[in-house]
Amino acid sequence: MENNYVLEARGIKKKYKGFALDIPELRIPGGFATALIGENGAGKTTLLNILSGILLQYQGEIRYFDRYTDRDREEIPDVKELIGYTAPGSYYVAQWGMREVEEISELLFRGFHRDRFEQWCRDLEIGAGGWDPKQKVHALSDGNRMKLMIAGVLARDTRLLLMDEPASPLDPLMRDRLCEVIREYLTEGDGQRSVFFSTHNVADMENVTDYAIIMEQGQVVEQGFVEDLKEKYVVVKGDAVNVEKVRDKLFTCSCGQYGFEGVCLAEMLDRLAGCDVSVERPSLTQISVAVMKHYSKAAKG
Amino acid sequence: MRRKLKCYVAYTTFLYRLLGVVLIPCVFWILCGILLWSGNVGGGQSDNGKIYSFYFTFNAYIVLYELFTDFWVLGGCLSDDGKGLRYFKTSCGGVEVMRGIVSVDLVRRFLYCMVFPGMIFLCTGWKLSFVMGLATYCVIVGVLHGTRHFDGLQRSTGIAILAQAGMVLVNFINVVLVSLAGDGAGTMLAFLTVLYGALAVALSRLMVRRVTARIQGREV
Repeated sequence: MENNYVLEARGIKKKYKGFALDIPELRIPGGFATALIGENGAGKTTLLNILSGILLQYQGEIRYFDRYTDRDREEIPDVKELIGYTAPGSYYVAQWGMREVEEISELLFRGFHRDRFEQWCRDLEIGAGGWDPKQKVHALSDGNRMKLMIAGVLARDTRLLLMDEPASPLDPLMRDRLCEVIREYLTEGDGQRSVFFSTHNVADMENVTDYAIIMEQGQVVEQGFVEDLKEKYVVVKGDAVNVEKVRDKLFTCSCGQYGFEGVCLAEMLDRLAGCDVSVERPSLTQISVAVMKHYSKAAKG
Repeated sequence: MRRKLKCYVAYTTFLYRLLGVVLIPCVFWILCGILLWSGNVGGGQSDNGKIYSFYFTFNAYIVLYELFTDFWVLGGCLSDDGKGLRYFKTSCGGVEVMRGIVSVDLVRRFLYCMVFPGMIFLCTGWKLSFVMGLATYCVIVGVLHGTRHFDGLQRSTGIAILAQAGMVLVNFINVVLVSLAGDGAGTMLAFLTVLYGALAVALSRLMVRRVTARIQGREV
């Protein structure tokens, strides 16, 4: 039976001066939106660069669509046709106009549709006119450049989108629109399309995130479906007088004058019996921050 | 070649093609042509000094012009985070398209380096002009191997000054060699033509290889 992973990676290692990416195993489920979460320098961009084929010097194996290897990705044109990538900032040459972006994209990708690209430019309201062939890339704001890249990948027949920080340069309204766009992309794909994006804006992207991978210092420290993670972790609240009794059982703990709040594993709740605490379901943001803080503290010793 | 031209046209902007490829060189060539045909730079022995100074002025222009246009169109394309390179790397047609762009660009550079020597030869019969045209092309492409790592105009301009010095030195050596050859000037001219021709081909091929290797993640 075909397993349902759009992307599987094993033994991925990449070393830089003062940083090492080390991921023994990574599996991204097919048909879902997967968020890659981590603090600055955690290795998100390095990982996405490896998966997208920008970075080719690394150790390990990658398998796409349960069929193609990373070598196939470089040798069989069809593989890159199926993968759309958006970079942080912009990968379009600054002096290109939107017309040049369209023409170059058509040369680079067989499955690029001009009509779809122009329509997405209008839908995403890029620049002043939506679709203005003479509009230069350098004259666009960071947010509009990101929208232009998104329009570019959506104009193609892809099955996997790899997006590096797509939400960062966007305003809150456009972040909401981005979530809608990703959801539409997945729905239209009928389980055959997947999105893997990195983000710092966990709260804004939470409503589109099905699966989350949390990275810390070059390693994957937590991953799972968001609903499962919300079962795995709980938010614990209580009076400030009780904080010392529970502090060592919590991933994170912030204490004010009257009370404390922290995140812990749900399986640890038994140990909090008698501590007079209330328990709430956490948001993905709370889980992410707690996990990142915990592993960051552990790494620093 | 048609597809390569299409890639080049798509990659470069209309403004660049209008100004950088057509207008500026044409205006310069017309001015050179007027000067040559007006008889101010003739083919007589006493005019050699005029030809040299005129030629070096032209070369100073073409080296700066080519480095500037390179920065305009392909500046920093070999740098780690080169313009558009990530886009090419993640596409299936990136290698072929970039190869097309760089090849057409090199052919254009070669033609631009040889137009003026051709004009001088037609007017004066000065055969060394071809050797100097080839040498200038070699200097330009050689320097571009370095400047394409830099996406900052300041650093590229710094290298342009070195290129000027290199061009003057190389062409000065050419003139001296041909002069010293005396009766064997014809043989020396043929030798230099073959030498610079081979160097031009090698540098051009290496440039195309390096750009495509960058996209494929192989370092040269």
